Amino acid sequence: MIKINDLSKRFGDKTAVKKVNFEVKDGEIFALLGPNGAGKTTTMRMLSTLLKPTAGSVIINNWDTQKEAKEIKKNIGFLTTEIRLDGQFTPNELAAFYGKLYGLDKNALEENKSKLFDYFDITQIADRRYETFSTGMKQKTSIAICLIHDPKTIIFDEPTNGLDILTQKQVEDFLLTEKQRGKTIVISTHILEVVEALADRVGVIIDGQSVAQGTMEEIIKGAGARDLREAFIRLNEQYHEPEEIIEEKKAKKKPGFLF
Amino acid sequence: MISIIKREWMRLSKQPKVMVTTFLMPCILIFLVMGVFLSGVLERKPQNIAVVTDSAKIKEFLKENELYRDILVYEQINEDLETMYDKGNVAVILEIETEAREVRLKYDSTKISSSDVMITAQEFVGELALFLQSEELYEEFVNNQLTILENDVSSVIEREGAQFKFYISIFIAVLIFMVGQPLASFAIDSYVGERERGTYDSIRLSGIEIFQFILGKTIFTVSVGLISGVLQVAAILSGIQYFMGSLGVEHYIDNALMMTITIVLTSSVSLAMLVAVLIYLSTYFEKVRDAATYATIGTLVFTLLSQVSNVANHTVLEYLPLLNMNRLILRNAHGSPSILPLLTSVILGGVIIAILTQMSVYRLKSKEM
Repeated sequence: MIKINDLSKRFGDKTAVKKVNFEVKDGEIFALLGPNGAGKTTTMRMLSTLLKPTAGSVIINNWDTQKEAKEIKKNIGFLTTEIRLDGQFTPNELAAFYGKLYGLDKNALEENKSKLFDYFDITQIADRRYETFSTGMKQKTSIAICLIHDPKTIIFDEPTNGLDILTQKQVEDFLLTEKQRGKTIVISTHILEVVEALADRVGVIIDGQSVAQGTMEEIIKGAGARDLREAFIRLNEQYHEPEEIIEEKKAKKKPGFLF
Repeated sequence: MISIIKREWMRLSKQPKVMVTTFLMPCILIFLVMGVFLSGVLERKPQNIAVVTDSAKIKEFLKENELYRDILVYEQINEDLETMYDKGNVAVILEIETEAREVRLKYDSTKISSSDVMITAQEFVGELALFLQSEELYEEFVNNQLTILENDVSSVIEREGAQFKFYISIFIAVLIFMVGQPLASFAIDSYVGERERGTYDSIRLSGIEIFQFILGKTIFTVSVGLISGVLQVAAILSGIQYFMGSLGVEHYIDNALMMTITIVLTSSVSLAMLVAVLIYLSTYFEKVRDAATYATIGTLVFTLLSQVSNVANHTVLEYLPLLNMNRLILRNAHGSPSILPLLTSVILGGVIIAILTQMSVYRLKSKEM
């Protein structure tokens, strides 16, 4: 279970995230949807304990990110485009290094490694340097390494960005399998197809504010749209509407909507 | 922490160019440049003492006494001896009367390259007086000429010492800079480099404490510096051996063990201090390129500071980490172990390193959870 309460982050004068609220239930896939620069990555970094919130809180499996960051770190697998692996190392070396840092014993490491490497077709190239890999292989290796400790919660920021369709499908299938294994998964993306393929529930974030939350049907219905794409465009337009119109709409708040 | 150190060594071993610039190139340079340079400093022109006498007894004394077998014996001052004296091959001429009642001493202190020759001459006359039981020789020599001789000997020792200190300072400065420069690159890269490569977050997400990360980086960097330093000292010794044969350093080092301990301890503490400062600095930068300038400036300041004790001849400096390197090494080289200043500076240095490490930890903690 992940609970985010009034989460805010300021960088100097700029507010990147403003009072974001959402809740992710155990064993579900929650997608944080938003345009580029909406504050998705900042939110995800605060979830992963890498960034201190200016205000608000994040509770993951009853641990507070600000008080029990170490426990959270050990129990999440976090992937973001900003995080990279050492190019000089091979997947085998990377697995050994991160496995050791996560405190895995040799058997657990071998078991997790072989499962992940086999699934992502890394086994054959596990002794080649990471820097020689294609974008897709790099992303698959990054996923395998960040999940080497088999965490309960998976937090992926733009996991399919820049991937070809086949690799994208492989990553999506993997996340669905993990969900079936009872993992709680949060992904952030601006790609609607990914949301449609994976998400049980969606949170829409625009300009650092959560503007809608619910199942896909609730979002579409709430926006008065035919599909997610149209709903997303409408939400974006509504957000940028003059304040008096927003206030008027707030008064007639629809289910699943925050304004 | 051990995983971080191991990873850093693995990363280094996978970068042949960095390995070459860190370990091999400085060794080659120091072998050639410093080998030739120090050889010239340490190589002393062989100088002799010549005794001019027709006394059979004195000749017998010289023949029997192994210690003075290198002393040249002449019946009178001839052209050959004068030429050798002019060329500096003979440093001291002792003219001793047949009855050994008077010694005429002839020497030019400006031509003497080592105090050894003066001391030998002094000892020789003293022992000869005892052998001959010549009170006159002893009295005359001790009362009249010994004082003059002692003054000259001490001026030679002073001159030798100053020269040696100067050359050793340059040697240590070059060594520190050669070790310090690549070391500074590693230290400054510790945080900002990981950050720029995007690898810092993945390491932090594994739950490793910032303190362990910083300490792992510090130990790795200092170990690189120490290995590089040991290799460079080996290179310089090989250089001296190669360029001047077996003649050399033993003359200047009376207490090799103490000197080695001094070098290892003072350099470890000093290098760790440089590393701790640069790691702290690295937390203020976003780009390695911006931080690199400060790494070079830091190394230069570090090199200059490490030479301060040699310039400012003050005892207190001996107790301060970083500033004591030369003085301690020189004192221990001359056989007077300086355990108290050594321990004081190691403890002080350790405290400074601990404070700097903690400052880095606080700084990084303030940025994240």
